[in-house]
Amino acid sequence: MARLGQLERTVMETLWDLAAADPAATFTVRDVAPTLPDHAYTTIHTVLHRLAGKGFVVRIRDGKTHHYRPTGTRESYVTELMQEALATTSDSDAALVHFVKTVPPNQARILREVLSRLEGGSRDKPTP
Amino acid sequence: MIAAALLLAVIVLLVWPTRVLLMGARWTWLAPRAAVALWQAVAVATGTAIITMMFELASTTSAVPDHRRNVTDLTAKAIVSRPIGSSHGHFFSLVAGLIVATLVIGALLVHGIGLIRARAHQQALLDLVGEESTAIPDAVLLGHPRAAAYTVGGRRPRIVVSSGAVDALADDELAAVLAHERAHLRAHHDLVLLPFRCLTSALPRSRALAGVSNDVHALIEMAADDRAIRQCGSGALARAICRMATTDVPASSDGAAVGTPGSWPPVLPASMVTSRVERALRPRRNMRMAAVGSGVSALCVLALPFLALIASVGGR
Repeated sequence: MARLGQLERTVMETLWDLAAADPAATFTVRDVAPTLPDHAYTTIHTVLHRLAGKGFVVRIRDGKTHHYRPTGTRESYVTELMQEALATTSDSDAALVHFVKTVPPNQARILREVLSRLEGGSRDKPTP
Repeated sequence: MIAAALLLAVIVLLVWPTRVLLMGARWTWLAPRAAVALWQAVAVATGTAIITMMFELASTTSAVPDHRRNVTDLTAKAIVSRPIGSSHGHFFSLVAGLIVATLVIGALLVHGIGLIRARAHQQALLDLVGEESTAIPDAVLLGHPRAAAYTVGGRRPRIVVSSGAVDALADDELAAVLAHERAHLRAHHDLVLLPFRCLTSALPRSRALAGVSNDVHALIEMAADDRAIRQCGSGALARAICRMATTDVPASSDGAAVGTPGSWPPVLPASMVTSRVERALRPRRNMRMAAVGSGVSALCVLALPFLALIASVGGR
């Protein structure tokens, strides 16, 4: 399971690198294979199939061969994760348990004041 | 039928004191873990009472003999047990009960599956773009300038910290954040919250349910805070909360400041964040009383629906 996860990541990283050079292009197993010399084509095919199932790559069939294209850049996935992490509505965050949510500006001001007091000379005083 | 009436009484007995004594109550902050257990007990007992009451209603109405319907008996028992209208009444009460049960269970399932899917998607994304950190071996690092720290549940629960958070926090503050998140993982807080969140998303119009879900959420945050305070000190935790909550808020915002920063410990406007800061900075008071009180009430609450059923069997 963990090995497959690692493979998925490597394949995805390869696709991202390839797509960075040519964003409009699509890629085949043959294009990905050089970065995974220890693995058979069928394994890479399986991994790409799984990635397509998860929605991370689009699969385009061209005759006998399958062509693949990543659905987003690495940055877009990080942004997606962060957007869900930083969302202030209670709807979208149901899957996560946050450390703390960002507060509205009027609360931010007072929390900053508290913070500067805590950081000042009285750093240890407020602790009981 | 007595059973159904008793169970209804149990539901009223559960809901009314809960609204008055438990919802939004500050005493629960003294012993958040015990208070969470009490909330769970209330939820389980209310659910059990409602479901058994519906089955009692359905089974008794259909089991009442025909001749009973014409007897003009004014005792409470007969009034309660008299079926509504004709024999269609049994059918309708049974169907209505089944429809309600199906809707509630269906909504819970749909939203539960939605949550599990959302979690799986998060995990899959983290598999692809999360980075390992040598400094924090048990957390996944996200390369993003904004500050975020959270826990994703699932088969492989994970702590996620953004590089923005690592940069913003002092070492002891980061340690407090991680201690807090590890406490969430260790106590499976995502699972504790899951049923409450499912209920809330299944019945989004219910302000009471949203309030309950918020309360439970605040309490598990406080329980995790307590652990972080024990491990890293209350100062580090309070600073970590303040910093994480304000780092991404623009400083030039001209919203009027609220609360009175002059006094110490500060008096802050009520919100989950500020109450956690206040709580970290105030000396701890007699937590044992609150914990024992919550624990004993939780046991009593759990026993209520079963006592009602036993009493009704004895009274038959």
